[in-house]
Amino acid sequence: MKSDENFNLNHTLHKLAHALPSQAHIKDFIHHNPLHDFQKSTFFEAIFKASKIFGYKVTLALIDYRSLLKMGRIDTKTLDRIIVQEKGANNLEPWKQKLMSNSYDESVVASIGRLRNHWKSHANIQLDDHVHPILFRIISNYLDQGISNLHFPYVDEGLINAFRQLEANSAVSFFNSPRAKKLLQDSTVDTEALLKMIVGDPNLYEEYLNDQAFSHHGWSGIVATIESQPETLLYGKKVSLKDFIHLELLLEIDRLDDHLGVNHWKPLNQYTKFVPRDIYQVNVDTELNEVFRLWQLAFEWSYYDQVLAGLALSSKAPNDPKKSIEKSFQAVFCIDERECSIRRYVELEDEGAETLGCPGFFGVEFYFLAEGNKFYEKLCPAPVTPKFLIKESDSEVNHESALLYSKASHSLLGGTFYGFVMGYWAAIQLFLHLFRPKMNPAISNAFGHMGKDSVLHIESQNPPLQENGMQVGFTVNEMADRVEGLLRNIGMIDDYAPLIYLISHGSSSANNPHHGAHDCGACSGRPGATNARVFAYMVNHPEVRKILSSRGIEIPETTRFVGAMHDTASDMMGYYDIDKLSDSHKIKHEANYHTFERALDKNAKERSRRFASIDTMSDINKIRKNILERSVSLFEPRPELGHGTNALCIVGRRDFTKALYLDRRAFLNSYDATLDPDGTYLTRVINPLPIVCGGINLEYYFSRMDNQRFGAGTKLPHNVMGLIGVANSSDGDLRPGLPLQMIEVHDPIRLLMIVEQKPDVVLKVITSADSLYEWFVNEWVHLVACDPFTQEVSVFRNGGFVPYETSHPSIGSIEDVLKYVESGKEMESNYIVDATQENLPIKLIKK
Amino acid sequence: MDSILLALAIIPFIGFLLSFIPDTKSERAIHNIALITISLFTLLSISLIFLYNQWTNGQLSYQALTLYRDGHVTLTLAFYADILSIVYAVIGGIIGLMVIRFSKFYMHRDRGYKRFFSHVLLFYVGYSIVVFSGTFTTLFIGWEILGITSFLLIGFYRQRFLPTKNALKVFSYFRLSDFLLLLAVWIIDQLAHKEIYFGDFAALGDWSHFSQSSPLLYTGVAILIFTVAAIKSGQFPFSSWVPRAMEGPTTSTAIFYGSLSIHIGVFLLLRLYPLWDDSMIVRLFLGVGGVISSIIAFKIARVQSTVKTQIAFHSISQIGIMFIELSLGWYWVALAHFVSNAFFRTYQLLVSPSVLNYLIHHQYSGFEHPSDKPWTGALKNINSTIYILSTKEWNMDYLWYKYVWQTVKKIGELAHALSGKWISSMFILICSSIYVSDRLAWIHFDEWSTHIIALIAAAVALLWTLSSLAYRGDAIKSWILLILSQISLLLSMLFNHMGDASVAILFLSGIIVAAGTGYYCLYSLAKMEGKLTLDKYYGHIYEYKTLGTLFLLSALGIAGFPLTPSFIGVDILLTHQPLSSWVVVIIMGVNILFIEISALRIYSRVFLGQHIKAYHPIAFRSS
Repeated sequence: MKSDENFNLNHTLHKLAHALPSQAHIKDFIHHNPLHDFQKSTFFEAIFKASKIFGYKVTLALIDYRSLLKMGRIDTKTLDRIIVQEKGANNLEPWKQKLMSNSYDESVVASIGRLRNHWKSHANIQLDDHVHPILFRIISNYLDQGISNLHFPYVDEGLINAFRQLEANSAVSFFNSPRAKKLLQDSTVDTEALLKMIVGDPNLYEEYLNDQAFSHHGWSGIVATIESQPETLLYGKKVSLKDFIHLELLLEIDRLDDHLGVNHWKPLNQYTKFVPRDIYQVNVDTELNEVFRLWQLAFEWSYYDQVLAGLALSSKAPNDPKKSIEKSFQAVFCIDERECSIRRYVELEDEGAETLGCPGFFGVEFYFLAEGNKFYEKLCPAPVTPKFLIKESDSEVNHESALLYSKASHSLLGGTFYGFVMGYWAAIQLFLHLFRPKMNPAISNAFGHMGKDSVLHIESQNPPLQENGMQVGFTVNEMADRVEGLLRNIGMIDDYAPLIYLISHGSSSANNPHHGAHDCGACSGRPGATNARVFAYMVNHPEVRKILSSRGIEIPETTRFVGAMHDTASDMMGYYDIDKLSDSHKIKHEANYHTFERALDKNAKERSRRFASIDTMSDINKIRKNILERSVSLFEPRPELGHGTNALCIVGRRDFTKALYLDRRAFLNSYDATLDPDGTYLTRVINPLPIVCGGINLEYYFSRMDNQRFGAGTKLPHNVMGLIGVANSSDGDLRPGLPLQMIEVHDPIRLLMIVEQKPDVVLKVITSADSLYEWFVNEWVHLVACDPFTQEVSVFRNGGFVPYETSHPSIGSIEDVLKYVESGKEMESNYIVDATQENLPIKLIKK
Repeated sequence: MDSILLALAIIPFIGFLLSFIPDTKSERAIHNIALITISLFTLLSISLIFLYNQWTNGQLSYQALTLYRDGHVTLTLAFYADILSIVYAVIGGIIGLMVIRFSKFYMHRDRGYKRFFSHVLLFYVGYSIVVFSGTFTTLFIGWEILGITSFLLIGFYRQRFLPTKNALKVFSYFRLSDFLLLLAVWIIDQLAHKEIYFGDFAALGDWSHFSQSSPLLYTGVAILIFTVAAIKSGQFPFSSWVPRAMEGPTTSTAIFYGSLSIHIGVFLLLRLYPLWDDSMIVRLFLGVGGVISSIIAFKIARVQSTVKTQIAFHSISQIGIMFIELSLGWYWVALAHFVSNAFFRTYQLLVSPSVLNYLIHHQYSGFEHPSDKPWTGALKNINSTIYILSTKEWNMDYLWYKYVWQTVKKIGELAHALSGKWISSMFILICSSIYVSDRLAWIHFDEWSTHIIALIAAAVALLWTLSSLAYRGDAIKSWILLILSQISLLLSMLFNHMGDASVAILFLSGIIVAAGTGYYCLYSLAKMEGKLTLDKYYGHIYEYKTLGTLFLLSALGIAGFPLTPSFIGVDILLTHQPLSSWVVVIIMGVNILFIEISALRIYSRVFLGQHIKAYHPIAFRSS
């Protein structure tokens, strides 16, 4: 059968693949905008459309916004200002009335699924109930990475071919009736032919396929994602959305035949008249949506306004103390907002310490091959495809096995042995763990990713070796380019301290399939220790220093760089290659080590205020111990809170933000506008930020707004499916997105990016590439420029910068950060109005 | 000392009641109640071991309460302990303590924190009654509580569709086991001609003489007991409920389907060991059933690609082996096997989310690509067949749906003709007047005629229940059908001289209250929210928590759950019957089986599932 003019399968598949969730293998948990398919529209148009089509909740309920206003989290002045700004001063009162007291029907009903629902209403069959369980089982078995002992056969031949062969060889069938079985084996029957049988009218095919795919967006999404990124699977499986759809259509025909009888059902279009429609054409111009939009803007700007007021106040404060005090050390952290507080404490503990921020892969992009591993791991932002490979050797990390996890328990005899004997051992282990949690091989250990004293082969041979299309190691010139790039980006081109730490981060956690979401986003969801070590090696390399010197960057002989890693869950820090330091450096490091430990103490204390199991007022050693235990506790679904509460991304000098208490909510990227008058470096600095920080922010935004549909729901019933994702139960759909336990503390507001640079330079930079500009002009990320020379604040709106006056002439100030932290109260429940009370207002830190 | 047994049965119940007091945000208080309750339970169970020298003949018994006595018929609440009880109690206690400690942190901030711990405590109410039961009546009470707790914990995430659906599905298996157990108890009563105390098993002497005197009944009982155990322990062909039960929080899955609940079938076999010990047929059943189950479950386990279902089927496979051990008479081996398997599966389930990290980590270093063409030659066909069969769970779920469930529904739909207003009122009216006339001796029926009328009444009661079960229209009508069914059942009882006015009052007292309350719940809800039809799920529990709970209690009440005196009525109803009325007994038993399913179905449809009002986030149907 040739394809119909009104329907082009490939075109439909292409569109579908874009619309489906793009979460890959859960080990590669990479935060992204769940509405990436809508990014060409403005934010509000996009979310309201998505809501109408898919039934997502995309804002808070009106009652929640109203409560937030009552408790002061939404500011009255800001609300008025937003209404005036958006609706004009004359319309303030009528709109205020609508926002404050009108009642609306807030229920959302998805328009998708309408066509397929007719099976239920006209043929009286709940088709999904009969098709989903077996379909999910087949696809889960097919994609399985290593849970099952008996693998789906013939996976190299693609889903349908493998399925055909399996069926052909078997005496029994997945099908309950003969017709579908025949249709499967008949290779002249293509997908369109099946659609003809089920739907009838080619004008309706596209809608039907959309309905079908979005009735299980998790599985359809992972199939589409694996099709486009097959490398996400270690055990490669050939799969395509087309095959998956073909299989589902066959199963539908089979179940219809089985339940209704072969001659007792007709194509859908014969039951009733359908007018073909484009599912994406929906009207979202409603008063309610406008009310939601104003409320959301008021919610966001109530917070942003405080931040901007704070920045205005703090940057007016006399600065430049750095010239007066000698630098004891410098520490470059990841921009990650979880490092915001530790940086504050490091500076507090040692006045001579300077901290900086840059994306945690430190500008070195490569694949990593850990010793004994058979697979490469990408250690750089997800969109980058590195051409370099770094290999590890002499690692002391051995891949320990845990007796109780052994596959031996999966054989009949072994299972009997385990069932007979190992139970007692398991009980003892469990009992001990409940009272004394400690690290074991089944727990994801951030420091286990790379050996502590292993050898990394960073410098390439001459001429460089190639392996699988990658160059093994970097040449001296390639190293110098990367080092220079990063140092210039963050404005670190002179005045070096004797020791400079490059502090990457990772996260240890137990019993947590989502652990990848806690690791470094700039390292594709892996711990970043390798990158820190690689960068330190490069910048310490004498030849590299020579080249840098010739390019105007003079690093003194006495300055050494040290790679390190901060475990954001356990608040432990590890340092690499210390034995290679000179004795005088070792002594300095010893002193700095204690500074870091004290900072970690305080950091742990600050974090502990959000953990019910830890009393923030207790002894600091106890808190450290408790924090460490959380990261290895099997029973702890919140080893850390990930990126919850993230709201800001500030690009500028540390002095610009140093005097503000930002409550671990800001991504901080160092950048010195005085060194970059025309924005050359700024282009490089900004480029990855919307994708990384905006992606994280939007993932949290949507998972918070609708944890059931965008998010993965509560973690507690999760079942690991095929090692590639989680579902709620044995026959449920995969659940992409963030689990409830990760988003409870998050206030769903968009990211505000603040750049310390003149507005015209910022404008030039963001308009340099469409893909970058889209984020700002379509309002997926808010943008503000602070002129470092005049301290004027302007906000990016409708394609240009306009001056901004804050409505907060002053914000409160605090003297002792820890006292302030102690005053924070714990949420009564994870309902947004309760939960948001945990987030402390911005304060000026007085010294 | 015997009163320790009573304490053991009562402590979980007190804990369960106490767990309602704190607010759901008072996590510490809720946890402490559970912790103290289960600690006491465990300590007391252990203390029994130390008092062993005071036991008589290695056993302890305590007669708590005579529920009913009429001539030679007595129904007694009695408790009993031997080594078996203590092993089950202590292991259950230890696992409970670990899971409670685990859940304290794990469940933190879950909106159902309190509900979770209450349900776990209710589980221990049932569990302690079962393991320390001294009579079948007592055992049956515990048995029913375990079933309903499973229903509640599987459907813990009650605003999602799949847990709601699967809770009822699993419950339907449990109801079948309840029914078969009831039948078995009835036959045993007929054989022994008196109420049996578990402590007297030995004293009753050689059960094997029944295999000579009434071989058919004896074998029948044994097979019934075997089937009940097979259902509860997920043996072939009843395995498909086990993976579907894994909908609740991981901790409850661990305690129920990893360890305690799933091994309760083994407990039953061990408890009734003297009863079937001498029967070659039963041993054959156990042996063959065990071999088949362990092999099939093992085959299914091998193709599972989800970690929890893999554990589930491996556990079933091990229980199959326990059945084999029992068939060989290795009583102690089976008991030891239970202990280890329960611990191991609890552990495995609790750490199941870790498998992802562990296996992926090992794959990075040790992955071996499976060979491209694994199956060639003659093996190809066998392997393919087994692969497909195992992936489809040997059609167990499909056959259950298609042949059991659909048949019941078809009969119910056919019976719908009987459910018209006029027909039903006329039927009840005529039957009642006949009964009254008969009683007042206005007319006189011979034995045979009353028997026939009783049979008709029982059959009509069953048809009404099935009709209620299949009905997709108004919820209130479905509820009324259940009330009609119970009235008809009562009439049938009376015609059959299954008891006098006192039994009728006992029976009615519970039913009337439950029927009225349930009607009130549905009526007032329908008044506020419009007509409630049973062709969809409403999820009204989101807004009507109190009304929902009240209706749940009514649903249990009308079904004769041991919550109201009706339960005693139901029990008498059956155990009273002479063997000759086996047709009536079976019909009534089937009725009792389906009434509870139907009542809970109404509860599920009206109060559970995706909330019909979409002003808040609602999970996808497929999740």
